[in-house]
Amino acid sequence: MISIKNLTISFSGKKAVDGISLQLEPGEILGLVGESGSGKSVTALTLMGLLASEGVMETGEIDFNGQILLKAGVKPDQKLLRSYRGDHMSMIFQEPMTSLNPTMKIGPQIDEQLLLHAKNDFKDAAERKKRVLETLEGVGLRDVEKVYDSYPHQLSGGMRQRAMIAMAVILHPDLIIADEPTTALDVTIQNQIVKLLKDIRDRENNSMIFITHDLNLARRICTRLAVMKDGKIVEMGPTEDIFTKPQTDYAKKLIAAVPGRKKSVAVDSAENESDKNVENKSESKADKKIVGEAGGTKKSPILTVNDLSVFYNERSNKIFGKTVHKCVVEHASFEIYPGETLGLVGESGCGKSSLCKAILGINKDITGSVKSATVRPQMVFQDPYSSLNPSKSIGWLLEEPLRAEDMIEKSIKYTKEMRREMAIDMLRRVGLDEYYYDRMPHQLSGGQRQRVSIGQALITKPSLIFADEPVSALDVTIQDQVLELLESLQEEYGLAYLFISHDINVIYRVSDRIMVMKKGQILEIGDKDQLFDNPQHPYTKELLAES
Amino acid sequence: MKVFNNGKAPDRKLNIYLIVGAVMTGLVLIWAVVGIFWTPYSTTQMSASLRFHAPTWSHPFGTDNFGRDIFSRVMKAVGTSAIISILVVAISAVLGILLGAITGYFGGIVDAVVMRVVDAVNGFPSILLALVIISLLGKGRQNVVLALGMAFTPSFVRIVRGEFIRLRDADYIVRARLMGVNKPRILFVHILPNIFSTFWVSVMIGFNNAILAESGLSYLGIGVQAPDATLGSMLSDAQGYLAKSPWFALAPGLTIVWTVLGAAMLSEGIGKLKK
Amino acid sequence: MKYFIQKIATLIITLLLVSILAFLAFQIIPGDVVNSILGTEATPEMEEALRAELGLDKPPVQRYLAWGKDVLRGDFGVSYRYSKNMNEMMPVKELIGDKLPVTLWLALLSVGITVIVAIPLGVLWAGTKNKFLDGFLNVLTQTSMAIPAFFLGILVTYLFGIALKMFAPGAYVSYKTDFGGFIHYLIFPAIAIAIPKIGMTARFLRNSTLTELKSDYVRTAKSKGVSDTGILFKHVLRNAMLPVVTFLGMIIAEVVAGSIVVEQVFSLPGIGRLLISSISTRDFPVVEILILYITFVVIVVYFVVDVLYRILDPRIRQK
Repeated sequence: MISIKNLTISFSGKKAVDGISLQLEPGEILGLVGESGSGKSVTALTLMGLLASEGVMETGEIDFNGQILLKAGVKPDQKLLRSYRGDHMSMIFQEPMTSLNPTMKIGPQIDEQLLLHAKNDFKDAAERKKRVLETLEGVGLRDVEKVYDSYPHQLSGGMRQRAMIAMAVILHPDLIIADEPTTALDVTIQNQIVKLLKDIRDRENNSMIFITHDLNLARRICTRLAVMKDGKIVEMGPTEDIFTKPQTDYAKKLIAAVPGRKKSVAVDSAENESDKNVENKSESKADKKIVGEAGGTKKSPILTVNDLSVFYNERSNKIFGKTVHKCVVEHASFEIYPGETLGLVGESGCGKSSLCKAILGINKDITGSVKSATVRPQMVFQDPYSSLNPSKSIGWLLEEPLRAEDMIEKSIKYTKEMRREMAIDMLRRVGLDEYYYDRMPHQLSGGQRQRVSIGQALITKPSLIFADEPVSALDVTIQDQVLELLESLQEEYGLAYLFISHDINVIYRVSDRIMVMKKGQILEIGDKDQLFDNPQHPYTKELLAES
Repeated sequence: MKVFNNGKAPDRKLNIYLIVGAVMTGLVLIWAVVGIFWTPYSTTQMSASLRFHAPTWSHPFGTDNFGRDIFSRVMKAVGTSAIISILVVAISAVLGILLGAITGYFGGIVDAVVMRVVDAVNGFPSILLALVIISLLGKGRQNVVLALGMAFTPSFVRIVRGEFIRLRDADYIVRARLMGVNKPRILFVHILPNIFSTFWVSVMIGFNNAILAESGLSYLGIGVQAPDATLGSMLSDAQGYLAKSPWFALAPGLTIVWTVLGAAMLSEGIGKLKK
Repeated sequence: MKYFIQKIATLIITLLLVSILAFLAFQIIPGDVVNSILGTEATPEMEEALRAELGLDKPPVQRYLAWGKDVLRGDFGVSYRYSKNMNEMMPVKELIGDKLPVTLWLALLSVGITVIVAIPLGVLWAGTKNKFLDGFLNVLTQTSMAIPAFFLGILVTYLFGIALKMFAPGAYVSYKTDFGGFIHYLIFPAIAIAIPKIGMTARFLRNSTLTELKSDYVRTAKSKGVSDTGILFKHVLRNAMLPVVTFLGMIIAEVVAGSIVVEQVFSLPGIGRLLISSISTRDFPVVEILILYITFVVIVVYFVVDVLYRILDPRIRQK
């Protein structure tokens, strides 16, 4: 049994982990969930004895099957820790590409662990290699001889993560810590990895700690959950109990913010004020859509895309390098109507963003036609940190679209005061206030920046907005707030959205109609409920299985 | 998710590089500026009785083979070197920004041609390139400025171009294009301010290389010509009397080291400031 | 294979371009050299004759082709300034011939010293947890980079030559008469060239090692129980050396430039001194060939570095 007692970790005086106690039984998968900065990863790294040198362990101790590994105030025994790491406990990281040594073959990287901890159990290198190959097979890799002799970059993301897992399980550790192990992977691969981790647990009965920000995922794999906030565990208990009967306000809020169809169950049982609002909102949206269609005056589309193909030149820098003309979107045709949200869902690299950029005229290498009824549609990006110019103030950024419009359209003339007024007005509309007018982007949080981005897109009042994964980089509760903002602005301005996401649950929440894309092709377009209740394409079915 | 940590508060540790660098550079600059207008002794007047004096209170750096005061000559020479180097950096930085911005942002044929030339020249040590240009233009102060300016331009083009390529597809620039902001404004209002930290560091490095290259050229006797004192030509003169009066070489030599070291510390300080 | 053909083709094109540029620069722009060789007292007939002898009476394209053919055949033309005797002009080839080994040996020694000292120093620096050593190395390398090559040459001459009497300044020994003495003399200019390069390379290696130490795969290695030394030598060093290889290529090119100046300080009869004197006397055929020659060396160095990088980095190798 592994236990953490009253653990407190601080970084230059600031507490990152604040008095945590945990116990792990063999065979259980404990989910550590919470938003970024809640102390999940610090806890895990401390458990492994990998706390960064700036971190100070103020109180607590870690007991690993009766062996005290760490104790506050006692200098950690690095030799002891090293002998435990990789042998009795191991860790799987988020980014399998960077977490493997790029200039070392997979085989030797795994073999290193046998050399370090179990050299005497094996007669020679050949015997160790046999063991490595067996383990690679055990994590579901095929053609293991070839994998053994491959460098990390020669494998796919899923294969790399399997290799990481092989590394973690080869010595049958008592504890496996998985830190967001599927976040960097596509949904379908994500499922396979989750299943693999469960299988390993069933086979070897080890304890696992599964760290994630994705509550839907935690629900599928964990037997027990610990909800963390600001370095404290606010609630801990069996997974289904937390989902169906959350006790604390924070857990209730967190569960309510999880997008997805199953959520309504939680909402009913929680009977929470704010959840009712969400429900009301989706009702009002449904009403609106009926007006849009049954009102039947056949509104003309705001955007018509006809047989659009998008190409991409893969050019090498050399003089004699050939240019490869790659087709990333094939024959896309669809329309967007005023006031509706068209959700576009697909895995990373399926061509979603390319399609979007082609429609906006950023990518000019296209065939087919795009007809738009709106001038200068705007776009909101995924990463709130790179979508605002870091050298300008928030006020300047909000006014810039006005200045640009001023220069293009002769009929429009804004004075300095008008611009300032409009910018401050927009700040209020996106839920910020005048105080932020003179702030710089780096002084704002991710959610606040995303609000400014939205304001910047809206200030010239376009009737169509492209949102490319606008909430994927945000924590669940912030995600919920930003989605709410987008919905209320849609009603206020009668906006149409093309909403791109890889997350089927988010798409379900915001869309009126949904478009499914894979490998550059649009597989299916349909009304939300129709598509969810009766998916036509096998790929859509696979996607929906995760919701 | 901890993918984005740009929002972290900046490190408030005392920036010792910035302080020491600024003080060292400041002292040299004051010394040089004063030297342009006033020196304790004449820099050209010779005196047989004062030859090879070791440092004294009246001649803190001693006197040279013609009995001239080394302190005054170094003062004058630092001014000359600094002015030449500043001009060199100004020429190459302005050309570098223009060419780098245009090639980096637009790409295409112009970029391919300019970069071929820049690449070919860049692999070539800049002092060699300056030698070639001077051999064509002839010696003299203006030609040194021109030659070094041309020789240093490619590295600026390279740096600026790299930054523009990095930023041209940044989300906030894509958004500026969608807003309909015109191209010059995107280049110089939206992108340029974001490359300043990198740019200032390379300006300081460029200044250092210019000081070293200029003194190298005048040491070789193909830079600024006598009777003007330069640090390089003073060292060249001093070399013959090394055994007899080593301080003769030490004064101009250490002045170069002081100046370059100060600018290097300053650039490291600036680099740390923005991180 | 395709890669090598591409690389070699690029190499040839670059050389061709440089040769055209050099030809344009030194044979077309400077104007008539005949006057400057013969002086003012020459008769028009004498001028005509010399012009024909030097091939200056033909159009530029033809002159370039003829010159190019000669260069490929190993005939580098004749110097405008030096002559063998009263009646014979000095071929550039002979002028360069016995100076080349001096510069090559000097460059080789400098690069050797740089690599041998800088790489252990950089690794030691990156690995140290001693704040004092870290600060000391920082100041030391920073200072070494601030000293110009010729001043270093003077300092080395004073310290090793005049004060310690380890060599006699100015008393160069030819490699033809005494190779050991030749190398002994060359070590001191090589040290002068190497010191700033050691500073640069050690700093570069230290920074790239520190960057690598922060990467995810190091955390993975730690989670496997690998010790700090194991991480540094087994995992980090190879990755950290990758950018250093490219950096060293640049350093070698700079060593060539540094040797030009340092040859002057130590009175070494290498191609650097020849280049400077040819520039001073506007002896263009010599300058032209020397520039082409140095370009060739620099390009070949970059080529070798590129190949080396591909061997060391599996990500590029197998693309």
